Amino acid sequence: MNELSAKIEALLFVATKPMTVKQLAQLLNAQISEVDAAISNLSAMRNIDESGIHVVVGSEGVMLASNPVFADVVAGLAKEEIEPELTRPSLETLTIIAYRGPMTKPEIEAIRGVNCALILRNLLMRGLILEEEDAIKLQFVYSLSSDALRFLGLHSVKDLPEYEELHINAKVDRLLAALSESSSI
Amino acid sequence: MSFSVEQEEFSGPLGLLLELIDEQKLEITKVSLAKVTNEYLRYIKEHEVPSNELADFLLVASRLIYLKSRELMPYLRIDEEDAAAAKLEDQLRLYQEFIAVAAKLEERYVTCAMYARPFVKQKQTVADFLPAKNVSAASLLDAFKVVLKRLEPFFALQETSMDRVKSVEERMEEVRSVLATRANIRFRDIVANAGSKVEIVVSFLALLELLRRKHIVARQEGHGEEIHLERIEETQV
Repeated sequence: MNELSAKIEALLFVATKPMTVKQLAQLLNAQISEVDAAISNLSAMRNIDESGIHVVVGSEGVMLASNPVFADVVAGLAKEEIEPELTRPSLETLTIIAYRGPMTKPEIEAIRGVNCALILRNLLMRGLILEEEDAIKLQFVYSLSSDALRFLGLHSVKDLPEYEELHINAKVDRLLAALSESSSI
Repeated sequence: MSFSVEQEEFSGPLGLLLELIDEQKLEITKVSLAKVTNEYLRYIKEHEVPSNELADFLLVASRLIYLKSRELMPYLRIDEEDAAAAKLEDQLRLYQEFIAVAAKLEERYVTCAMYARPFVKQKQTVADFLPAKNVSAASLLDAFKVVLKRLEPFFALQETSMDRVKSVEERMEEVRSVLATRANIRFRDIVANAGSKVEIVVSFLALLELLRRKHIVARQEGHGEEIHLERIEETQV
């Protein structure tokens, strides 16, 4: 492991919460691109079956978490209770946001074909998604939280099954493009 | 006929459609959509659709009915509706793809969880009482006086607004009592003795309020002309 990766690992161990690349770059007096490369390096080293600690890269930043393979072993000790219940509509909405986020409420609704206001609030309250104001769309956009990534045992959204197919999907693009056309009229 | 949807949480109109098409082991096509129209309609008729989702269910219902009607009467075609129907088909296929991966995510949820160290809070030091040196009974009194002084404009404002409301009420009573003895009166007469502009405004507000309560009618021939007020007899109301 190179020195910068090791330093990042040390910081993440102490921080116990996600740290942004910007924060890390400031603390380490390094370039953003250098920190990005060091995080990739650290992830490659840690995210293997033989490592107890894994690296999660989400929209809130980088954090350390236990190996998903040991979920049942660690669950007994962990102070964190994960509410297992996810209703079908919640799961669907979470899935769509995972693959296509950050996205607006109308975009989510275009895919699900039904009003999602209550579900979004519920997911927000459970900390599974994040809500941020998008400066260009002038609306709230939703993305998967780092906690949700951890609960799903994903190192990043790119770990999602069939991520490329659904993330860059012509059909979804067409549907959402039709949406922005109809809303601009 | 029972649908598996019933056992699960509502998943919206597309979820229902997919269930219906799956049940009949059909592919998603315009024809299969038209085929399940009756079942779809029966479902929303027999089940309590959450009111916040009803519009979405009905929108899909309208597209299904169009598809079905077109199958029965192929010569009946509306281009706009055709586009919407094609969109429904696309939308449903796409939705199906997300449902498929959602099932995979459900398997991972919790069972593959990665646990993080709980955020360790900084030890809280016991707060001592450390008043600043310039705190004395006198300085507290001064500070309180400053606060009271700052509140003054607020109270003053409240009093004047109370005042005005009272005047409007009074003015209304005056106009009504005048109109109790006379059949009509000109607005000019009412404000003849007005001491200030505010009083005229108050009189006018009283006039508007009386109009609103249907105690009087007002007539004006044109802009800037005389306003004539007449009382409305109780029997007229």
